[in-house]
Amino acid sequence: MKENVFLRIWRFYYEGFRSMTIGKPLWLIVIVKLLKSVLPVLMILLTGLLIQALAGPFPVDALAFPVNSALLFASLAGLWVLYREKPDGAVCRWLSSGKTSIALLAAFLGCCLLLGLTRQDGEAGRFPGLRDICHTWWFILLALTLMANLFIVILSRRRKGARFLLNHIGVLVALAGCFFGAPDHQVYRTVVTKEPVREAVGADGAITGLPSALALDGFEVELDPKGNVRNYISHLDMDGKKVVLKVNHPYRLSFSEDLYLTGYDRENERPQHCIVEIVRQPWKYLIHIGILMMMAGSVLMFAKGAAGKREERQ
Amino acid sequence: MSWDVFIFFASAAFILWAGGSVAAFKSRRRLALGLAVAGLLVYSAFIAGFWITLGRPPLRTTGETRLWYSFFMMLSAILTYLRWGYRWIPSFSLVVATVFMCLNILKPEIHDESLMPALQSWWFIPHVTVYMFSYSVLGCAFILACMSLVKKTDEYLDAADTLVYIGMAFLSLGMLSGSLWAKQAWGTYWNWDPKETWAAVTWCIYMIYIHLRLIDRKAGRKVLSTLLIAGFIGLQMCWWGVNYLPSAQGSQHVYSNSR
Repeated sequence: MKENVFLRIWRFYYEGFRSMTIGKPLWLIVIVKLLKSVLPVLMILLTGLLIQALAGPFPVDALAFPVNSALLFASLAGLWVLYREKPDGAVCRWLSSGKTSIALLAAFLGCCLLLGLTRQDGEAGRFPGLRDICHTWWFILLALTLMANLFIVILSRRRKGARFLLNHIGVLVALAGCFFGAPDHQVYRTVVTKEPVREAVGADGAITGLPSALALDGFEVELDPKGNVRNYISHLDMDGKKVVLKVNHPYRLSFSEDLYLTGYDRENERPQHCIVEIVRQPWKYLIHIGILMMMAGSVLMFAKGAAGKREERQ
Repeated sequence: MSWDVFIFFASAAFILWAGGSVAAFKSRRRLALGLAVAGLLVYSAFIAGFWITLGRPPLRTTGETRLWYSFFMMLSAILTYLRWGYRWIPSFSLVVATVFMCLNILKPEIHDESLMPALQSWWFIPHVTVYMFSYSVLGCAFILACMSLVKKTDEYLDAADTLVYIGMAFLSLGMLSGSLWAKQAWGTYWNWDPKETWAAVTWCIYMIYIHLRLIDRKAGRKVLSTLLIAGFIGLQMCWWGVNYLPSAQGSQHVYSNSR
């Protein structure tokens, strides 16, 4: 029965299209125009799927510093040379087109919808990688194309004013920091007790040494009148240096590392241990700059509004 | 002051706002403004009293954010009315605000315990209020989109543009402040947590709207209105829908049942 219904629907549209007279070329124009910006995006997704099928998930760890920095620099330089030498070539024209931006945004939206509707707990190796979308070739290729589109759009419309530049450069900088910085982003955990520890364990089980030994000096749990935990504070000893660690108040360990208090011994009334995370993210400054630029851009977006945009256009 | 007395404040505010909406519909601007402001004052008196009683800002549970949503919905409706003179905007916004007030009366999700540690940050109030304001502004854009579909006219699209720009400015500020806060609290700016993912979905939809409007002035009313409606659905998913998604179990953003 079901097939019949679908067949009937198909026949309805098929017959309708066949008997169309003026509508047919119009529809063809619409489809061709749509394909011009959409087709390359589909090709990129297909290429990503193909690589995913042949080579497995994206090799994030192989791209740790300095490979990621070199790749970022090389691709920006390559795009800049391309824009300087062949601004009217097919690649530049496609990358600088607003329709391409919309097609890429729509594809990115599709990925976000998939991410939002499926559980992301799977093995990255599986094809097509729907349970670990962030580590698939197709998702990363799409994000890279989006960044290339942003870069060329910024180059070709660089005189459009502060709001345009802050918003677009901000997005590009933040995205580049997130995607290119991902291989250098590491999280290690360790259980801190009264005895000093010198090691922490990464998500993949790798053990890393700590720059200084951590020991628990004291731990406070603040309760509200109803007995719920209001706050918890950990007093740590780092090779003789006293450090206070609270939720929302990370401790800056070095240029790239911060300490976070993520949990504690809830079994005991007087906690005997706490769990500390060491987050290594040297690219955080770049992401921070991108976010601040976008925030400034958003303020300008509010201040100027859509009317400002209409004036710019005229 | 607690949820027990909310019904009295909500009813008083509703009567004042209903009067204001009728006045707006009859194009009596001053009366509409006066009644709407009086309603806002009554309503904010409850928020203030509730805040003092709780000893913390009422921004944590979905029920508490609904409280703000009704407030900002009426505030942005009256501002939209004053700016563009759409007579029916306050009435429609009142319907939406009333739905949320009734939800709070019937299902207030009472939690009067204090804030959990992760929420004790000065980012908390700006992050949530900015979001609530953007939700209400984009809610007005949603009403305009529905009207332009029903009445089959393009005349609302310019006003929708303005609302989308204001709403997106605040939506972006909410998302960006959230990512800075996430770095401080959890160590990463973006973690693809379900709430973050749906925020990205919503952000992309409105971004497509803005770019489509800029690039293709001939883009049809149907496409644009559909985008605004889809964006509004995305907002609802992001705000409370994720709590019911099977893929979102174990989200970092679920606070209502945490102890």
